[in-house]
Amino acid sequence: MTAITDPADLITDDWRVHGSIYTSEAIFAAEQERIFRTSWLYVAHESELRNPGDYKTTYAGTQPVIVTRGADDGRLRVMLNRCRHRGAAVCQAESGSANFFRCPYHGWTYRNTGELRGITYDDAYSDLDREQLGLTQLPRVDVAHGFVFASFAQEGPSLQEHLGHALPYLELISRQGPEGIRLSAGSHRLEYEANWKLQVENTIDNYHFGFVHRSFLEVLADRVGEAPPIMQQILFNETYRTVDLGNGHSVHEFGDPRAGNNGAQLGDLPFNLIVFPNLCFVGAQVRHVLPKRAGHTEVRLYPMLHEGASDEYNTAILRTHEGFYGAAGMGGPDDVEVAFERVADGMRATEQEWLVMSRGAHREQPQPDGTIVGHSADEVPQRAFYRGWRRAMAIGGAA
Amino acid sequence: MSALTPEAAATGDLAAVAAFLYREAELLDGYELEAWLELYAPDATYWIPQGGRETDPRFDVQLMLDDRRRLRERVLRINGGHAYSQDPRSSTVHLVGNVRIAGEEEGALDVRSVQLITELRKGRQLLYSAHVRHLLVPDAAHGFLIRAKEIRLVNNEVPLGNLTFLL
Ligand code: FES
Ligand SMILES: [Fe+2]
Repeated sequence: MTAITDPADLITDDWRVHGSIYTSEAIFAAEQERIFRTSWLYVAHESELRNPGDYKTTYAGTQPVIVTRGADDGRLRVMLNRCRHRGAAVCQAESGSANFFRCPYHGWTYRNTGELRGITYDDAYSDLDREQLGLTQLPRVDVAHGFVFASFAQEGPSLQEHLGHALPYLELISRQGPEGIRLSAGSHRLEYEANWKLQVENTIDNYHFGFVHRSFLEVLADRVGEAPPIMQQILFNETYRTVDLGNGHSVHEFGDPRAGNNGAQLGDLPFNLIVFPNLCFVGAQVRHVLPKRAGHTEVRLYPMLHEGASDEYNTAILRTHEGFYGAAGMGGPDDVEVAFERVADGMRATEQEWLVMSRGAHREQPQPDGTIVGHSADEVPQRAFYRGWRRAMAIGGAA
Repeated sequence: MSALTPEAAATGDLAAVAAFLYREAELLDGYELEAWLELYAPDATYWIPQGGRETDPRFDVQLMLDDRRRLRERVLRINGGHAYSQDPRSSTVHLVGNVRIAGEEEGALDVRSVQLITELRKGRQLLYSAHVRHLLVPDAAHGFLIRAKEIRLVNNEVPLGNLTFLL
């Protein structure tokens, strides 16, 4: 095994990638520090928090947070789900509406703005500064086309700057339905025993589709009487392309991204999008990847329903989504099996540590606006992600 | 059969109903999926809810809500040999208990049971417990046909791994 001290050295200029990025707890901890504590992190969609007082619980990196819409001021806030007294999580529910959170341990209460409202039997404290004892807020919260992001960093690029060339795609997503989209159907929750980045980098990987999803293609062939031309499209359709959008983001376009639907399945986006570090869009879903440990990940898949469409249409989106995704889907579990867990198995063979991530590197086309265009089944999205990763992880580097 | 009163159903045919459920379990555990599929009526639905009693498949995402066409596709996929999430296949034991006939619904017997499904795959053994509901209609060949099956897993809201074996 090679001893590497600077994480930036884990990715070579000719796109050899060191397997320890998936297995090392030290690298996992460094990612939390250098990426998740500096970047903008997706936490919610506005449709989940429509009314004053609405809240949801989720994770910012590995840290449990509560996202609230202020009961009085309607403002979105993101705060640590951790009582300032002795640390119990103050909110258990996944979502709901509340003016106050009451810690179950000793009964301290907080407004849904995070402000400390009450301490039980407080005559036992002589000099407590209550103003300083609200739920700890993430200093920056911002919204882009309905998607709510927060950052642990006081300063740094604005959300708009961070999203950069990914922004127009978020706008297209926000306009999928006649009156927008909503995340009101709940989410599929998956867990697997492998690294979080495997799920992100598999979100745009047209190279794998015909192999890992062969059984799904057989089902489709049975349904329509002939093999679907997905692989031919991926290999030969020149309007299918991958784009490195900068800042770690990437997209795969199935033809014109402004077209309503890629024709493959009901409700599907005409593109797949990765927003660095852990937000993905594929099919009709928002995919939120939650790192837990180097070798353990949770993923939440939120179907996007079309606002203004009929109930029947939205129900059909759900059934179509379930056909492929979720623990019982006919596609997603094959990714878990092969692209995540079998990779984790392979990574135990540490005598040879290096992976090859150079597919199509020689034919990447840098554009005047800084984006990089490549073929559909090339590893442009993986390189886009790891360019962002490498820059953030470099000693002394910043996201 | 179709004129069965709830009382008669509860006393007279419970043994036949239970035997049918055991037969279904046996076919699943024995990988006889094509024979298993034969137990489902042409208009059958097969539902693994996600969420509590209040979950509504019109508005909420479910783990599975198949019509018979898609159920057949599941069988096709698993038997086709290229479903990696079932390579190797899950070994299962379905333990069926607490069988009772709760009533009738549109000519079908509303049968409730509990099931403990033990699954072993790649050296990992997992347990799934469920409240199960079958709507059974009489059938000459099989005794009954399944018009609807509903499998309410107790853990249907926690993050799940691989539920691609048929429950
Ligand atoms: S830990 Fe919350 S009140 Fe004590
Ligand atoms: Fe896949």
